[in-house]
Amino acid sequence: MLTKFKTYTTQEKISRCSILAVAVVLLLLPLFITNSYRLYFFSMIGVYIIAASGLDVLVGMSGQMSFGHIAFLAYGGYISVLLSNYTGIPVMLCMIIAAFASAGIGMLIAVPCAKLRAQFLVLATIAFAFFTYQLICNLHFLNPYRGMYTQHLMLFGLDLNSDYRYTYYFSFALVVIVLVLKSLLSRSKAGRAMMAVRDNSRSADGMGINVRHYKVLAFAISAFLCGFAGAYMAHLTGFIVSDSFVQPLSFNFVLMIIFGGTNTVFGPVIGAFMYQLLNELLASAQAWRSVLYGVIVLVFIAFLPGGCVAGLRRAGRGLAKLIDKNQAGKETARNDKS
Amino acid sequence: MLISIIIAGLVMGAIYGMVGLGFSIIFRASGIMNLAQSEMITLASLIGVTLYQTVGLSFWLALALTMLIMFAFGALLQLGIISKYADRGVAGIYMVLVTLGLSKMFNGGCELIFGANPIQFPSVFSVSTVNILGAFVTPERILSFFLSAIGMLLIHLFLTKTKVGIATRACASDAVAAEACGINVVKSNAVVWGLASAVAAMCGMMLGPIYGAAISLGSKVGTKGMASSVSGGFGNIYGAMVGGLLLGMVESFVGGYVNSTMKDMVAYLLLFLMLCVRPTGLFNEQSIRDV
Amino acid sequence: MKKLFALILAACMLLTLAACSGNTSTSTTAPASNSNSGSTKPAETAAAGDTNGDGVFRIGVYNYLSGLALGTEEDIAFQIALERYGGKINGEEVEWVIYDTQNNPSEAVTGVQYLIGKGCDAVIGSFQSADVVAAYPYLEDAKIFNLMSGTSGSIVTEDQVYSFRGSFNANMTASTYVQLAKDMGYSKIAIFYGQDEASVSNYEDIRPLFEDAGFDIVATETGSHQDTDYSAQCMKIVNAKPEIVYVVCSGAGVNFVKQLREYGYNGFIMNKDEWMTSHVDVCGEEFSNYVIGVVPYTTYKSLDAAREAGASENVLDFLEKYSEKSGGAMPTLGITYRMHDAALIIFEAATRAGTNHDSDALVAAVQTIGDLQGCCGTIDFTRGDREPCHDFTPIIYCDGGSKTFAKWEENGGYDAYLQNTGREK
Repeated sequence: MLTKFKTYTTQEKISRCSILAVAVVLLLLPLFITNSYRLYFFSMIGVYIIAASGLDVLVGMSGQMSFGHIAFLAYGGYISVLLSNYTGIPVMLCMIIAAFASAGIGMLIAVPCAKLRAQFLVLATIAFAFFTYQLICNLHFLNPYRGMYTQHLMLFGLDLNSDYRYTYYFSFALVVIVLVLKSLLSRSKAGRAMMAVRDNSRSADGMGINVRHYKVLAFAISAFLCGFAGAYMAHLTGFIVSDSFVQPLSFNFVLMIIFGGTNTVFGPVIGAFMYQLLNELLASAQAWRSVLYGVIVLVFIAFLPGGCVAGLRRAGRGLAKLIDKNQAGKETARNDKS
Repeated sequence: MLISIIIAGLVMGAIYGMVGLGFSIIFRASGIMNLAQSEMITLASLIGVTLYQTVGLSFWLALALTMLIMFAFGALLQLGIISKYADRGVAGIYMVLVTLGLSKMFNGGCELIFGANPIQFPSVFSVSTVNILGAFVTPERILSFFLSAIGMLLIHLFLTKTKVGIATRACASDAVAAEACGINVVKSNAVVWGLASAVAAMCGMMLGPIYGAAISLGSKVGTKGMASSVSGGFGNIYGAMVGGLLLGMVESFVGGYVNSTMKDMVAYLLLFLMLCVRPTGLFNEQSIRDV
Repeated sequence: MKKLFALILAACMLLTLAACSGNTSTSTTAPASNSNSGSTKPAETAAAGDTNGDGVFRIGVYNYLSGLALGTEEDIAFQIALERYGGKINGEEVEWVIYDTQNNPSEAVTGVQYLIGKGCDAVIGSFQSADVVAAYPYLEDAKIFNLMSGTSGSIVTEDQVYSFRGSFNANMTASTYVQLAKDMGYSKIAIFYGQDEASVSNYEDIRPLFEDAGFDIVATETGSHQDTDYSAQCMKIVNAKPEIVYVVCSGAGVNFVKQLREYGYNGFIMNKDEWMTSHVDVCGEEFSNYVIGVVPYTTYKSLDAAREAGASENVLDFLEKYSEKSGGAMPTLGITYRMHDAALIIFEAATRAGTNHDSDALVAAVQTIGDLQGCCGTIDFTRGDREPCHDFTPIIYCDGGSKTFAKWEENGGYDAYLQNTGREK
C-alpha cells in the first residue's frame, strides 16, 4: 500500500492524509470529551449527514432538486416507530425496513414527478412535504401532536441510548458506511448514468441511457437514506412528534449541501457540522440565524458553487504546488551539486 | 349553506389568486420561480401598517405609497442581486435557491426591524361585516376580490397593450433578440420585478387587515398562492386567478362537507396530483420536458 | 483498497460495541406512558442529583423563542424575580443558560442535552407542552430539578420525581368555565378546539364536564391553529345558534375568533387562553369584546389599564417593576408571567433548601412552599399534586381592556352587553 501511496500526486497525498487525520481525531474524540451533550451533538450530526447525503444523491448526482425531503424522514421515522412499538421486531431491523418503505414511497412519487422541469419538481416536492405533514396530523393513532416515545437502539443486546459514547461510535460507523456506499455509487455504472442525466438529459437519452429509470432510481436511493436518517433520529431522541417534520425544515438539508458542496462525499459532512454549529452558536437569536442562512446561500452560490469541498480542493492544490515547487528547488540544487 | 360555501370559497380564492399573480408575473417574464414573494408580502404589510398606523396616512395613500416603495425595492433587487446572478450564468434551480436565500434574509430582517409581535392593522371600513346571500363577509375580503380582478385586468393590459409591457414579454422569450431590437433588457427586467413587488404590496395591504400584520403573514398564503398559479398554468396571468378560485372552492367544499381538518391535506394532494398529471395547468403553459 | 479498509474499520467498531455490552450500569426511570425511557448517562457520573458546585447557580431555560418577543420579556421577568431575593441565591450569582427550541421538540431534546451538559442546577422548561413531553425524561434521568411551563394537563405524570409545574394547569380551570356558563344561565354551547396537544387534551377533559352539567353541545368543530380559513367551521357553529361558545386553540385561536365574529356571532366566547394584547391587535377591539378567560393573569396595554381592570396586587406589583426596567413597556405575552413565577419558585426552593446544587434537597424544599406570592396568586405545592396554582378568577375582555368578571358584572356590564349585542341572554 505504501508503494501505491508514493505514486499519488502531491495533491492527492495531501487530501488523503488530511482525511485520515480527521478520521483519527474523530475516532479518538470520546476519550477526551466527557461532556454528554457534546457526544449527543456528534451523534445527531450523524443523522444530518446521512439525510444530507441522501439529498445529495438526488441533487448532486441526478440533478433534481427537492425541497420536500423532510417528508421521507417522517415516513422513515413513523414507520420504524410503529413497527418497533407494536411488533416484536428488533429496532435495527425496523429502521432498515422503514428505510426500504421510504424508498418505495420515493419511487412511487418519482414516477410521475421525474418528468417535471426543475422548478416544477421543486413545487411538487414542496406540495408532497406539506401533504405528508397534514397526513400525519390527521392520523390520530400516530398521536401526532402529543408525540410518541420510541424504543431505544438495541444492538446485540446493548442499549445504545444508555451512554452517548455508544451512539457516537454508532453514528460514526453509519456515516462511514453511507459515505463509502455513496462513493461506490458515484463510480458505478448507475452513478455515471445519473450524472450524465444531470448534465444533459437529452444527450444522455441519445446515448441510450434510460433517463426516467435513473431519475426514479436516484429518488429511491435518496428516499432510502433520508428514511433511515429519520428512523435513526426518532430512536435517538426517544420521541417522535409531527412538528419535527414541517416542510420548512427541508431547507436545512438544502443549506447543508450548498455549504458543503454537491456531488461530493464529504460535502454533506461539512454542511451538517456547519449547520449544527450555527444552531448552537445562535441558539437564542433566531432572526439572525435566518438572515445568516440566507447570506450563506447567496454568497456560496455566487462565489463558491462547489461548496466548501471545492474551496478545500483549491487550497489543497495551492499547497501541493507550493510543496512541489519546494521539491523542485531542492532537486535542482542537488543536480547542480552533482 | 351551499351558497355560503361558494361565496366563502370565491372570496378566499381571490386572495390566493392575488398572491399567485405575483408568482406568475415573475415566472412569465424571467422564468424564475420566486420563493421570496411571500416574504415580500410580509414586508409590504409591515411597511404598510407602519405608514397607516404610525405615520397616520389614510389607507389608500398608504396603499399607493407602499406599492411605490415595493416597486422600487423589487426593481433594485433585480438590478442589484438577481441580474448579477443571471450574468454569472446561475440559472434554473440555483436561481430558485437564490430566491430562497433572499426569502430567509427578508424573514429575519423583518423580525429584526419590526419585531416579532403582530402590529395592529386598524379597520379600514366602518362596517365590520356584510351579509351577502346568507354568507358573512368582511368588506376587506370583498375589496380583495375586486382588487385582484382589477389587478389582473390591468396587468394583462399592461403586458399586451403598452410598449413597456410588450418589451418585457419580448425579453422573456429571447433576451438577445430583444436587445438586438433596441429594447433595454436591463430596464425591462427591473420593471417586471418591480411590478411583481407592487402586486405583493397590494396583497400585503389586503391581507394585513384580515390576518394581522405579522412576520408569519406571507408564509400563511405563500404556498397556496404558488399552488394557485401553477394550477392555472404557471406564467399565465388569468390562470393565477382561475387557479386561485379553484383552490379556494375546493378548500371550502371539503371544509364544509367533509371535514375541516382534511382541508389542507386535500388542497396539497390536489396540487401534487395536478403537477403529476397536468403540470401545464388549466391554461396549458409549458412546464415539462420531453424526456 | 481504501474503501475496503474503511468498511472493515466500521464493522470492527460495531462488533466492539456488541462485545462491550454489559459494561456500564444504566439508570432507567420509565415514564408511565411507555416502557422505555430516554436515559442518558453522562460519561462522568455525578452523584445522584448533585450538580457541579462551582460557585454559580446555573439555571437553564429551554423555550420557543423564535418568532416571539419572549426572549427580551423573559429576561426582564427573571431579573424581577431575582431582585426579590437580593440578587443572589445562597450567596451565589445566578447564571442563565438559554436555548431556543424553535418550535421543534427534537430541538427541545437537543436543548435539554445542552443544558445538562453545561451542568445546570435547575431548568425551566418550555411553555410548549410537546417540547416538555419530549424533554422531561432526560431531566428526570439526569436528576435535575426542573419546572415545566406548559399548561396542558398531560405533562404532569405520576412517575415524575424532579419535575414540577411552574405555570398553571389549564384543565383545573375547566370546571370553573363550566360553572360560569351555568351561572349565567346558558344551556346550549358550541365548542371549537384546535389540533394541538394542549387543546386536544383540554377538549377531552372539558367535554364530559359540560355534558355532566346538563349542557346541550349543539356544535363541535375543530381546526388547525395554522389554518387561514375557518369559514366552514364558523358557518356550522353559527347555524347551530349556540348561546355561548368555548374556544380552545393554540394562540387563543385568534383567527378563528375573528372569523367567528365576522360570521355574526356576537355573544360570549370562553377562551381557554388569556386574551393578550397581541390578540387584540389581530382581532380588533370590537371583535375582542366579551371574550372570557379563566386564567390567573393576562396582559394589559398600560399600568393604568391594569389597575382599572382590577388586576391582582401581585400582578400590579410585577407590572410596575417591569415597566421600570423596560422603560415603560408592558409584557405582551402571558408566558412572561409564567417565567417569572417559575424563577421565583426555584429561588424560593433553593433558599429554603439552603443549597443550590442538590436536586433532592430542592425537590424536598419546593414541596414545603405553601404561600409564595407570585403572578398567578398564591403558589402552593403542599397539596402534593406538583401544581402551584389552584385558584382562578374569570377575566373578561371588554371595552378596550381586561377586567375581572366579578367587577365587570358589578358595574352593570351584563346589562350593557345585552344592550350592545341585542341578544336575549
